[in-house]
Amino acid sequence: MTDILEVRGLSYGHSEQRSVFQKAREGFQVRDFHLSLRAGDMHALIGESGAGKSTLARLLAGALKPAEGLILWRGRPLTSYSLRERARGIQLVMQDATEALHARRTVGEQLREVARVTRGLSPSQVRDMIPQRCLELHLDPLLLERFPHELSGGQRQRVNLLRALLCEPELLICDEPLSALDRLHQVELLEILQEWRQRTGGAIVLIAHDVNVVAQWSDAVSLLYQGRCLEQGPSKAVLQRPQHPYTRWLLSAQPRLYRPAWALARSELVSREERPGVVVYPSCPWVKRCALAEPACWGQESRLKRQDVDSSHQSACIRSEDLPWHVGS
Amino acid sequence: MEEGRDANVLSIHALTVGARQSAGARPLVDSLSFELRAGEALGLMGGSGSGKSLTALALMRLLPWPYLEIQSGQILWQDKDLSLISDTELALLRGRHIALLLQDAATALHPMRNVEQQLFQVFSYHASSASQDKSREKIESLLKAHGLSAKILQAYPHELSGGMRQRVLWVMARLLDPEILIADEATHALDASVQADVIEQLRGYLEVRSRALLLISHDIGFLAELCDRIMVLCGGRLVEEASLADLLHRPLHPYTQALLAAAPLEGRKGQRLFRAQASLQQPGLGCAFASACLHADRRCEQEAPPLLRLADGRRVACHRSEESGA
Repeated sequence: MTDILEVRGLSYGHSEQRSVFQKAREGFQVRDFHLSLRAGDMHALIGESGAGKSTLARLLAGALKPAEGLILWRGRPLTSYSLRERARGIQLVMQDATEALHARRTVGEQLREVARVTRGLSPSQVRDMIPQRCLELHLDPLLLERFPHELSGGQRQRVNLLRALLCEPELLICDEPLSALDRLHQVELLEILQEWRQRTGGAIVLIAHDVNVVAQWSDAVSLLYQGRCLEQGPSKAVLQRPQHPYTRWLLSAQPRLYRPAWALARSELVSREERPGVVVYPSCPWVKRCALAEPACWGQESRLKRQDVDSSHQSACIRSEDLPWHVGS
Repeated sequence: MEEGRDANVLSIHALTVGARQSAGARPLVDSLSFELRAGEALGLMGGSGSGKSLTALALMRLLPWPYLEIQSGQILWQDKDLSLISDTELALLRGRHIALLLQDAATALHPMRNVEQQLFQVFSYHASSASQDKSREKIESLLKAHGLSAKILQAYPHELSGGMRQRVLWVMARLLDPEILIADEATHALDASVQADVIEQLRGYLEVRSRALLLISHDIGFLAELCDRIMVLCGGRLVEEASLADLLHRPLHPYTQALLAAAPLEGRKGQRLFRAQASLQQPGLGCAFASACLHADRRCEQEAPPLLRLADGRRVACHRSEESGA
């Protein structure tokens, strides 16, 4: 199978940026990101807040212009497609379901418009189809006559998802669709996404800050920190044998019930206080907190590299071969 | 002097919360009774819309006026019924003896005052005798304990990240060392690492024996870190109460089973142990979970199961548990 989406060296931001509160820092929100996605894949982007996940989502959807790098959609640069072609190919479900919907129009009106404009359907076709599609997402068709504020958070989330699915995209990008939901609704939504992907063969990029919830459902994961991808690979491999100290720490920091058996004490992975100093690209951004860091980490180039000959599992830690848990050891 | 571990610091009897002018409608919190004991962390678990947050608001008498009200029930704290005392008395009590951490950190802070003003206001409002220096010391030590630098005192809420705002609320709630801390989904917006810090802080808070925690969350993972006892709410009713170990190993109510299965435990992904449904029907007379329950029959839909106390001290409200003779 060929890749439907290929991302090479994607960066977004400026070389230096000052915000009101923070010190001047390297101003790239995303830097040097690579990804290849085949039809039917589910790829999870995971990271803490401020890791650049949402920026990346917007870049992949074509809503932001990259500063560097290339996004290839079906072998051609994303920018070479018209807006409508792009909308039919890639759909982004925004993080904030309330803001993503028009507050003063009914849900039905908004959905019908989307179906008409992007799919070019006639009003009568749209009217027949939408209630049907509602049921697939466990939404009561009666909701269509309501305004967004009359819906619960979980319903709004699903309306947003339905809006994207009505465009029948080949790639769906969901930005933190689970963070506002309780566990029951999380499972429900993940099942809906899973079912959609199996039925249509569409690909999904799923963004989350909670490793546990999504990693088990996706085929592959990328772990992001401060705009950089520190580890990438098949979910199973990454969850069972995470190679980068950042991934190890992220998984070890989970509540007890979700923590993997190999979890380490936090003191073994992060230093108590953030180390002073400025991290200069392309050295590792995690170095300021890493308990395993060595002087070499500050200067040396850190890029994703394969951990195993026959797997696509990659880590950006320059010391990964020396770490006690290395795949090869 | 019975100030031991089992003394109740808060007793709730048949608390019922409902909309004003809605005679006959099903209450939003339906005759909820429980005790909060000194030294314990009690968990209140349930999905969205189960009445968890309303319970917290009702305990502090902060229900959105004039829409909702406490229709009946007692909230007993030190022989006082908090549902009856005057507003002035209550205002002095909030924050000093019982503090509530709200779910939405963005709206809980004043948008046009900086963090310093808001934190110092806690002292001035309660006419605290602590001097300016003492207050500052307290603020700074708590900020540090929560992983924040003193620099953020000058910041306004919009300049802080979600996690920072949440932590400012934690600091604010703990300034006057309240005996009871109620936290409503207070780690929900936080990264796992920050959540781990908060959990550590809460363990420290509980080291003083006379204190108690009421933690509200939909996530068993978070509750399991701290709670000894967990109550499960569904549709405003208590459906199960058990010790943490009992609940994890032998959940009795199908709703509890669904909540636990949905969590990604032990490296497996969450499972759906309930019926996904599109209908908008309000729960009827019967069990609130009946329409989504995989085991429900006619009786579940028509007749509310009573809350039974079992031999081992746990409580459960399910027709099936009665039949199986649990």
